[in-house]
Amino acid sequence: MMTVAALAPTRNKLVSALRGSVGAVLRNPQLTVSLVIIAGCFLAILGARFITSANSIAQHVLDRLQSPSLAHPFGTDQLGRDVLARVLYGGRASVPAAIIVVMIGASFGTLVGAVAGYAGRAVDEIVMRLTDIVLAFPILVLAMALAAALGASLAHGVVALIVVWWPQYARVCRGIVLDLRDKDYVTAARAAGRSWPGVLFQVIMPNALPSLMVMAAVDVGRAILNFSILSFLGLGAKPPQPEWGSMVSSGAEVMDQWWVATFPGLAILAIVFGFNLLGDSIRDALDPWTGNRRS
Amino acid sequence: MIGYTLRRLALLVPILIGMSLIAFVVSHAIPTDPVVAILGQQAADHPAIIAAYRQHWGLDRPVPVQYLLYLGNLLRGDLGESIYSHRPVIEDLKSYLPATIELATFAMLFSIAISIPLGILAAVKRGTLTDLVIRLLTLVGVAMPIFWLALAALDIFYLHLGIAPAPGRLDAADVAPATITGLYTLDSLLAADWGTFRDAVAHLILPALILATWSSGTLTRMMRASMLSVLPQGFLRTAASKGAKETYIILRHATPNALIPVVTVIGLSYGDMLTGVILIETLFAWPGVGHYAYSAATYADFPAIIGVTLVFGVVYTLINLGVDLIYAALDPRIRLAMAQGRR
Repeated sequence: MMTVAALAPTRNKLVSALRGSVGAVLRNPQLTVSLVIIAGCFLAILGARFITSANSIAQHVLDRLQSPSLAHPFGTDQLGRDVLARVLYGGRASVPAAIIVVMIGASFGTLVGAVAGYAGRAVDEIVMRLTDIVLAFPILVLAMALAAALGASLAHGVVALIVVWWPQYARVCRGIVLDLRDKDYVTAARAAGRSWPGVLFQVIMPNALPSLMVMAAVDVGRAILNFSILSFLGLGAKPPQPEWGSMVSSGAEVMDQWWVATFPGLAILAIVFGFNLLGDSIRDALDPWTGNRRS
Repeated sequence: MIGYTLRRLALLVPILIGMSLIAFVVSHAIPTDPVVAILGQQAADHPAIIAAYRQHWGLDRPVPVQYLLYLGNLLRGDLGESIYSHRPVIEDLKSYLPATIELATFAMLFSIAISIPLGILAAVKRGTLTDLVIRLLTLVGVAMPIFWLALAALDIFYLHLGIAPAPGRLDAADVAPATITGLYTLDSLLAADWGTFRDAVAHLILPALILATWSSGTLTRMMRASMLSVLPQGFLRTAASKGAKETYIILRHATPNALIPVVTVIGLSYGDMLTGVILIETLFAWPGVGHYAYSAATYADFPAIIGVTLVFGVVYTLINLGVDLIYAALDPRIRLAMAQGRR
């Protein structure tokens, strides 16, 4: 799992990169492939009922553990449920959960980081020591403890991940704000008599947000992987609701029937890979140094 | 260097206090009723038991006092008693930790052995098909749900091909070597018991390789990027102009310089490693702390979960401190910046 900080691009390069974004997408095959993968996954999840008419929860015990066939392209699980339907509808748990984690975690972290970067030394110290402490844990281990303490459920898994997710954004956003606060146009806005929230949120933040938003978009993949780990451990979505991590977990009970665990695992791999590829191509576009283009 | 080390050690104190605070909040404040959570509903129906329990653990005192009591217990190594095993959590952790250290160490060694050469190769062959394949592999690596990969590997290499041994640390027929370090490979070596040593290594290979997936991806990418920033530098041209061979320049001059920033990433990768251990140990019936954490989560064994979280947090923090110190020893610029008060 890559860290968010590695993705933090410099702002000016980013803005110019976004300007030529349509052209860049067409010129950059890696970016195109990543967007196709992500869009494909989203379309399949949203359009699940156009792909299969099978029900993801209905049990047909007589049809249990059937290998993939025309009627059940991904086979059936221990309770005779259609694995294809469960993979598609399972995405409706994992993906929105991950998006919520990133949206709330990133928004809160950005807000905290912005205030820390602008409000001066005392606030900054407190906030940064707090992020130090959360980041001193392997974040998923802390999330696991939280989810267990709250009681296993999808909502609690999401809450646990949000609690460990925001500090990374707080650090990056603080860094950007510290970088921008002494720029001439910010000094000018202060001199013109703007209040400090005005300067921070109307002058500085509009310039900080684009890179934070790209970071967040790419981060969804990592959140999906982490949420599926919580679910695999039994601390996320609960049966009978389909969810990729918990499907792999129940597939582990029937290893001879490889299809039960294989397809949900492939779903996680595909969508997370798509997001990582997206992050990689954006990084390349911004930083030719580590990119794959010949110099 | 001594000043830097002392400063870093001083910075450790607030972090450790903060970690204990988080553990306290999670274990005391969050469950709707920690007493019910720990004693179970049956005991909770008896007010006398609850009152006795509250008094014993100081839960009838004000919250700040409770925290100080908790901190005092932590400092004495008292992490509470596991609900499931009915043993002190610290004793459980002590007995499970060696297996985890052994697995994680092998995984880290595999990860380094895989990623450093791949990273160098990708950087040297930048823009070629080799580079593309390596980069795609690293992206697959960091995106991999390793709990799923572990299942697939067990299915293929153990159940179907029969190449890999059964899950666990040793074959059923083998007796664990006399405990010296608790690491079976090391203990059997010290006892000159080659059969057990071979068996212990055979059991380690598959879980350690899978555990290495995430960090191999991250480290390869870091090594490639670091190598790319070193390659255009002047001292390599100087070496080339003196007639040194390309391979020699890359391995002797470029690689050591490129390795320095990779060292810090090794520390950060331990976070993934400690997370992965929970998944891999569970699937490979590996009797370590990760397996313990998984059963604790399954049985809602709070003292055990919090104990693992704290221990993993402290281990992760100390590893990163160690890595930072190595980094500073390798790169004088870091020490200098630190001495001047910049961080």
